[in-house]
Amino acid sequence: MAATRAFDLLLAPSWQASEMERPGAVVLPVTGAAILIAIWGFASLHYDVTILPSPGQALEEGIDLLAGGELIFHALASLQRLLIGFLIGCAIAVPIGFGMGLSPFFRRMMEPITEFFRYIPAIAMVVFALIWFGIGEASKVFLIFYNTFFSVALATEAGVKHISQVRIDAVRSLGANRRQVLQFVVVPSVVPYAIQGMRMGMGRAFATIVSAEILAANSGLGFLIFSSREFSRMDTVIVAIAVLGVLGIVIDRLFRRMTRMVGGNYLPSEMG
Amino acid sequence: MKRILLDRVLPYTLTVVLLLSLWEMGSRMINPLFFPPLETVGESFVRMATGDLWAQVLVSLLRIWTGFLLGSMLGVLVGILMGGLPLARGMLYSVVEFFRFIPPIAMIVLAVSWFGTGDVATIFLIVFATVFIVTINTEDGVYHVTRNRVRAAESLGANTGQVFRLVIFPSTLPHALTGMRVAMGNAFSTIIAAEMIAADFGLGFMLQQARVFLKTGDIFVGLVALGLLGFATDRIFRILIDRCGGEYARVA
Repeated sequence: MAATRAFDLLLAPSWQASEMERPGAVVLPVTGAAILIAIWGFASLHYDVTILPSPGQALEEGIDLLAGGELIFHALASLQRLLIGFLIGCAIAVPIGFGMGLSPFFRRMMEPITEFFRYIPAIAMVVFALIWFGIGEASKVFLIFYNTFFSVALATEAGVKHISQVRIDAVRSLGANRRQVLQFVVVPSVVPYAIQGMRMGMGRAFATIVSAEILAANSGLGFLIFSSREFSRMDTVIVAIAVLGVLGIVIDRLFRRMTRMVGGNYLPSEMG
Repeated sequence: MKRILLDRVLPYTLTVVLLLSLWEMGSRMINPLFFPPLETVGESFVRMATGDLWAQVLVSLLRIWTGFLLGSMLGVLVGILMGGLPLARGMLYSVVEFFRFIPPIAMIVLAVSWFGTGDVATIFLIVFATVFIVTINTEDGVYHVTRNRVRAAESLGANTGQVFRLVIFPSTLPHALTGMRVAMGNAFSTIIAAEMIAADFGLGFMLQQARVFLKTGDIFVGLVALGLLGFATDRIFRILIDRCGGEYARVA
């Protein structure tokens, strides 16, 4: 009985299912991944290691890189750049976003900058970054800053604009002073938006740091990928790619959890 | 009239004048190679506009559009499949989610080893940059179709095909387009990085050349061209989303 029910749920179009059930929360994803790896393994039989290594070879290389410490070294190098650029970007973008949300004049002053640069991908700025800051750390940190700044500033501005006047009036009528309005209404309403912007900025920064490290660096996961090209070590490349995917998911989930934690009942319905 | 001048024109001009004078100061006091003076940028533009700027732009755009269309079609198909069939959703969701977080440019070494440098490798990267985000958004659209609309159509006698065509598809379309708009942004940054590394023509290649030969004026022209293209494409998508959405629209 239970089996037929599960079978119905799996094959019936989802819009016909009466409740939002998600059958096989563990079994199905594992099966999906296993099928994919099997296809990969089968395909790798027909190609050379320098084109497509087998899952086993990649796993072996992954263990080697982990044991040798290279993987952690390069991952930490990338993460360190990300974190520094990200923190500088947030530290500057949040106050500016607040200013843009509060003062229309200031917002219009910033608009030529935000509107022009948001359509220029950060990676294109790499050419200027390399000329201005050289191939060292500063150019990468600048690119991450560039990525973070626009997302966070615009998100913070949106957050300030979405503060509901009713809530402000409510606390005021209960006798709150300016500082209390700021503390209990303004900041909690803006924070979820700002974090959402940080999450998006971080996502883009992640792609940018890899490109920048591919173009000019001597450490980091992007460098690991590009330097493996010379010896056609595709197994190393695949390991680095997999690590990037895992790191990306972990960072994204951290931000989502943060949004839910700090947002609380101020969370706009479309987030989280 | 005076209000408009004070409210809009004044702040815009203030910033633009401030930026331009900072730039001039940079080029005079620091290094004209770092901050090319405006007349150098002008010269670069005239030389490039009469040269191969348009051809480079066209090649990049063709690569973007080919990869983008292929990736979007695949993404919409898989997304509908996943949204419609819980079996497909259960098996593919984690896999797609994992690939979505891999920066497309990280695939470049594999792409070059599989397809060599040039068009196929760069288009592959654009497909990679497009397909997963479109899949996730389409899937989300199908999965969150308002159930009462489906019930209403069914109680009026619609069969599965009609439910799909008249309810599911139109309410999913805005989601899919939103995903495509994000994907287009990714495609733009991916193509630049890809052409810098693995192509001998296109905007990215042009920027890389300009960097190597320290022609900062050329870089500036390239960046502005890129910005304008990105802006125009984004506006087209916004209009499309507004048009196609109709009463189902949910523009993010």
